[in-house]
Order: sequence, then structure tokens, then C-alpha cells
Amino acid sequence: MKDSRAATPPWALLAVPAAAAVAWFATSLRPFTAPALVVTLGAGGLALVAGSRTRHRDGEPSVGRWLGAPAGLVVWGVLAASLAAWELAAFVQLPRSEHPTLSSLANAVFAAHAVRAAAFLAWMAAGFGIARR
Amino acid sequence: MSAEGVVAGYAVIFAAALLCQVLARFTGRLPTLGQAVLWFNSLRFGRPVLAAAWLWAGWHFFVRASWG
Repeated sequence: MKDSRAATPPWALLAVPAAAAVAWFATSLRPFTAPALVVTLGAGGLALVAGSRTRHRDGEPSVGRWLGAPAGLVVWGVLAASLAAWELAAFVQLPRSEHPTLSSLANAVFAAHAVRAAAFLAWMAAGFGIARR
Repeated sequence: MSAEGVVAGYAVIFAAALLCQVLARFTGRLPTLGQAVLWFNSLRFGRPVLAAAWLWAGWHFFVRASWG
């Protein structure tokens, strides 16, 4: 049997601190500027490339047993649909202060640079996960 | 509805998601959120849809944002 540890690329040990540094830098840039756009897209692209070159390890959560029993997956679909409906209901009503969307709530939370950087790091990790094979 | 009511609605949905995640972890009767995302990602259209949503989120929250 193939050793699952062999799937871990050598750059993986440096990837997390490097990504954290990129996240801190990216979220120090002013929104609505070209540098913010370029750095965000560049960091996202790197996360996708890194993910596409990484395989799932043995022992990691697998979807296998749920493929034949999608009823369990419906719960998550209902929750996602509920969130989307609630967000949409708030979005179509004004004023925003009375009907906050997740975006407007995030703006308040993201005022702190550390929170913003952590969210950016989580976003990069999500891109890495989506691109993994 | 007041802003507090709207925020309470978000809180209820996120609390329900947290509860489902805990149940999934400790009972195995439900897939975890990660497994549900893996399943969606395994569909033919899943990965492009997730990638597009992910890209939009990055642009929306980190490029077109109004922090503070």
C-alpha cells in the first residue's frame, strides 16, 4: 500500500506561515484599488495551484459512505438554502442598518486587521480544499 | 423586523449548523460540513460552482469591501 505521507509535498511545512504573511499583507491594502485586486487574485491563484497539486490523504474525512444515502446531505442543503433565503430577504430591504446582510455585518467585524487576515487565510484554505484532488 | 431580529435569524441558522456539525462528528448519523462539501465538489458541476462562489467571496469581502 502506498504511504499516505508521501503525498505531502516538501513545501507544505512553509506553506502555512507563508500564507499567513500573504494574508496579513493582502488585508493591509486599501479596498477598491488595483493592488488589492492583484494580490487577492494572485494569492487565490496560488492556493488553487497548490491545492491541485495535493491529493487527499488516507484517513481524512471521506464522502464515500454518504454517496448512497444522500438524505443526510439534505440537512446541509436545507441550512444553506435557509441562509441564502434569509440573506436575500435582508438584501432586498432597506435601510441596511435595519436589514443587515452578512456582507454589512462582515464589514464591521473586518475592521480589525487580525480578523481580516484570519478570514483571508481561511479563504485561501477553502480555495486549496476546493482544488484538491 | 428590527436589525436585532435579522441578526438573531443568522444566529439561529449558524447555531443549527454548529449543532449538525457536532452531531455529525460525535454520532456519525450525519455527514460533516466538510463531507457535504466534498460530495458537492465530486459532482460534475460542483467544483466549478464552488470555485466561482469562492472567487466571488474573495473579491467581495477583500477587494470590494468597506471595512469599519
